[in-house]
Amino acid sequence: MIRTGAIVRCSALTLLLALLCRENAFCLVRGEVADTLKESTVTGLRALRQAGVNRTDFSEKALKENISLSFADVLAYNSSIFVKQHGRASVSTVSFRGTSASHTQVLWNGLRINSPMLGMTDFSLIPSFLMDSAYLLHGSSSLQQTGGGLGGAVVLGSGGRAPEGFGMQYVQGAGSFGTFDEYLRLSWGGKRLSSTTKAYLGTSENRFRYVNRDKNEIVYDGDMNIVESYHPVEVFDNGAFRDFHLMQETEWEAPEGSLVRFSTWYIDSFRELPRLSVDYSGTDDYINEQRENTLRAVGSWSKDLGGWKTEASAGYAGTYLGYDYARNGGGGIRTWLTRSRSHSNTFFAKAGTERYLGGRWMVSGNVSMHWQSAKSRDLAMFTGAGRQNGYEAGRAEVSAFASLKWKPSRRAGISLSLREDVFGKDFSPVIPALNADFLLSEQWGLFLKGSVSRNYRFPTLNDLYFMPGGNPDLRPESGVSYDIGYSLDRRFGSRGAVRAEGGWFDSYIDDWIMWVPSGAKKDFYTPMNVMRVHAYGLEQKVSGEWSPAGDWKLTFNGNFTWSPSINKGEPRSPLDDSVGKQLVYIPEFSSSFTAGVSWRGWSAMWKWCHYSRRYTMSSNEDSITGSVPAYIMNDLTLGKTLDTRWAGLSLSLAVRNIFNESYQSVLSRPMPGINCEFFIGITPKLSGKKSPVVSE
Amino acid sequence: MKKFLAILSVCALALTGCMKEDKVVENGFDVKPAPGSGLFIACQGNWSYGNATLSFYDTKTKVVENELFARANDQKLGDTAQSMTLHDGTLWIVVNTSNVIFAIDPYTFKEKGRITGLASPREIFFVSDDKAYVTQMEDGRICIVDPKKYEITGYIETGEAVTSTEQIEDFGSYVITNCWSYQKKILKIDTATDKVTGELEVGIQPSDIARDRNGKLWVLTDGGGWDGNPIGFESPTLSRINPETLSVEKTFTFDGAVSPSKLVTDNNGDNLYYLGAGVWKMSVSADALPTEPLVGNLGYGIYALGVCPWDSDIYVADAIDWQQSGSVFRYSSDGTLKDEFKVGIIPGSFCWY
Repeated sequence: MIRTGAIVRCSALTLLLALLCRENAFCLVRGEVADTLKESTVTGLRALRQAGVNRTDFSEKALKENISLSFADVLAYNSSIFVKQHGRASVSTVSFRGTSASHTQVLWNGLRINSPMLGMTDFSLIPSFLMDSAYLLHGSSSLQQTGGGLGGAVVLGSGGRAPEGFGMQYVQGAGSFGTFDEYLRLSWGGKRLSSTTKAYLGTSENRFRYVNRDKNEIVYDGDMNIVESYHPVEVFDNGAFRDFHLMQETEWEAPEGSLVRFSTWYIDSFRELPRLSVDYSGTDDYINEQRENTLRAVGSWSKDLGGWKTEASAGYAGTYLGYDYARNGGGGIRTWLTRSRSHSNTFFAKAGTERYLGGRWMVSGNVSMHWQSAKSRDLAMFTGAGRQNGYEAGRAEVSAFASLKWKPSRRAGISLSLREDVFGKDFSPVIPALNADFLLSEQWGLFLKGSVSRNYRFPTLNDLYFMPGGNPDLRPESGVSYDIGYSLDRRFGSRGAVRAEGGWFDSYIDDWIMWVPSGAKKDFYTPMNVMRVHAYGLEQKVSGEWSPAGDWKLTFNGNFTWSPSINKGEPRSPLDDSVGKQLVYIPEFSSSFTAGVSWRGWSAMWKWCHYSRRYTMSSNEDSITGSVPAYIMNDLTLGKTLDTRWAGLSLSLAVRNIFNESYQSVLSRPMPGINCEFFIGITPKLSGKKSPVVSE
Repeated sequence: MKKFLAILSVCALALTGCMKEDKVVENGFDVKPAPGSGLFIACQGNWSYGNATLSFYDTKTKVVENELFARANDQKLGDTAQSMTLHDGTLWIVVNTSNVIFAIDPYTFKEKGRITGLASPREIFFVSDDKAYVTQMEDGRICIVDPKKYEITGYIETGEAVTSTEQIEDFGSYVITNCWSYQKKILKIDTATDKVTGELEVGIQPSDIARDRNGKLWVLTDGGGWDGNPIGFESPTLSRINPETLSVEKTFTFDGAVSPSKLVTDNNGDNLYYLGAGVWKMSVSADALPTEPLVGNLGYGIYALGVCPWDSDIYVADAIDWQQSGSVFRYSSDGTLKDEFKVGIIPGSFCWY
């Protein structure tokens, strides 16, 4: 099915290329250079709302570099958050400031999209091209948006007013390993009403070759003695995927000043789950695949009510997740070992308001409610004929937030926030957060800033109720953290600008939840409050742009994090060597750098990232499998935009892993070598106006 | 006669010399395994990490060496090393999630061959030099393999209700295997015909089996392990079975405080040992379960148990936090601690050499 689709898309790509060539030959208007999207910038004096907040914005260029990028890719190259990838287009989770995947809260248009069952978010299932804005809130700054983000929060936004008239953009990509991507955006903007529909389809056979250094191929002689062995070149199989996303945004600006928005996001994903590099089973022996259907919808209303900027929103997120694992049980009869089916639902409502008082004070507050439920079961006969193995549970989660911000002088800003979370019948203590900043130099836009806060993360539904192993006696994880640092924003006339931000962060997390083996035979896992963790370190980011002459523009963006994340708990036995050691799968050093150059519609971007080794053993041993080696990754994107009388056109080529590095992000999960994808895009000028061309 | 003895002595010397010459080849490791010198420890590693390892401990010198397979073969052992069997000078390592059984030289640790095409193998049992059975977790059938050709030659059909098999105990012309995961039975298999000739329900999830000095089969059940298990949940039991008639002769029921696992016997089959927040020892002729452990207050991570065939020392593996090198504690048969040493992640089985 995937293969047939690929052929159809290949034909479409050829047709578009032919059209493009025709336009190049006859219709190119000399000297007209397409607009490129402007990057978002931090300007001038910080708004009181942002007092002491540690925030990293992603430029629209980073989000919309090409249609095949997931948000995991954006994070890897545009921040120093560690992205743990289980393979190409496989589960990708993040470690923010030395914490685990479930310690990063993720919001889309105000709706929390972390799985209510697992607590984490799979960033490989978020196409960055669908998002119109995104930023990170580091550590305690996440409390401004939500509780539970012990590492921080990722805030995603889509929507906004569509340009007047009809608009359309179509982008197609074809690349290595039988990969095809398609993106279509249709928009209409009226005087008060606007609508945007976006669709994305990505498919791939995902069969890449790699040298498997975890195995040896052996050759026997006639007496069954091994006479030769070598590391085989293997094909990464059972890794095909098909991801479809449909997003609808509607915005209405009422005459009296209200703004009403509706956003819906539907995901239909099918993914095969690839084998480990140390698996010797035959390729046709089994089925191992996952299906996900997710619907997210958010409606919001906002209005300025006599100086009170008031907003109310409500939403829903529902996910069906099916996981099948079957083996050939003999004679071609398939034995279903797992047929897991889970449904989770989240209903969400939020209301809040904020107001400036006399220019020096600002008050804000909101109350949000999530009702979360989950039903999980395993239909496989393997687990007992006709009996179902699973759980069904739900709970209400209420969070109240109040904040008072004060500007005692022109240069200083202070924010005091209080948050109270209620999960089911459990109340968190009142969670305070204090943020402050001080302007040291207006010319350089140089601020000193700091924050201190507490935070709590309640166990997920799986933590509490999963069968087997759920532990209803778990305590919430609690953290206390502070950070201190600086930010700088300096412009050099109209030719250039440089921005930098950095600082020290420090947090203690108590009652860290881990799933550990349980039962007499240790044949299932149960979550337990097992550790105290001290996560601290340095973050530094710097970015800038420079226009040296004419239409030349240079941009760069660098990020670096040093994040020891140390187990400070009690030893489990006298021989426990994990205390005082770095947590598993959290790199101590991570960094990324991108540099771009553009000239008259031509563009090139080089992307680089580095992760230091990640220990796979809590005792941080230097054994063969005790860590995953450090790696450096380099990607290159070349692009050209063309502006014709009837459309904006774009071409781009993305080359990934340009030095063909052999690497793994996770032990025994091979990653691909050098690979590329070619994209062409068209933005017809349906309303006779000049359309911006987005490079893809 | 003297001439004959002289010739015999020369031959013996020559043979011994040849054998010694074989072993003189430096294996490049600190441990030099020889029959009767120590034990192999298969460390399972974390599921889906592919970090299983092999260790060897010299019981006389107390030297231990880890990651032997990877270091000797420039390849990983794989994911979840489940069990080991020594047969005819070859160590067979069953690597469960990697779906492979490696045959290695126990002195050089070099690979001699491998059996693939398996579905989550659990244990290999040698019927003869030419035939072995492999139990599997993800296929109810038992594989019949030719260990000399490293290939699967057939299957023992176990019936639709059997989804997996676990361990095998030898009773001469037949063997008995237990069906653990979500099951209740043990099966009797004729090794001449490779057919199942009998079965018996023994309780929920028979996790371990062992043979005593009287030729009786002991079966330990885990009772399902967790309330809500679709197959049921009950107190674990220890039963003595007459293997000939497949009938239960005695059943001991554990109280809720003990979660027993890893049933083994000493070399003579006089005593049973099992884990349960400590090491418990019970005579095969006892009329009740022991009330006090032989070794108590062991940590949460204790996972594997073995009794040395030549001195009855007891070896207990502690996985500690399941993410670091595990420890092995060596006790004398009266429960006195004699040594402790570090091996790989989640030490799960022992094999004496």
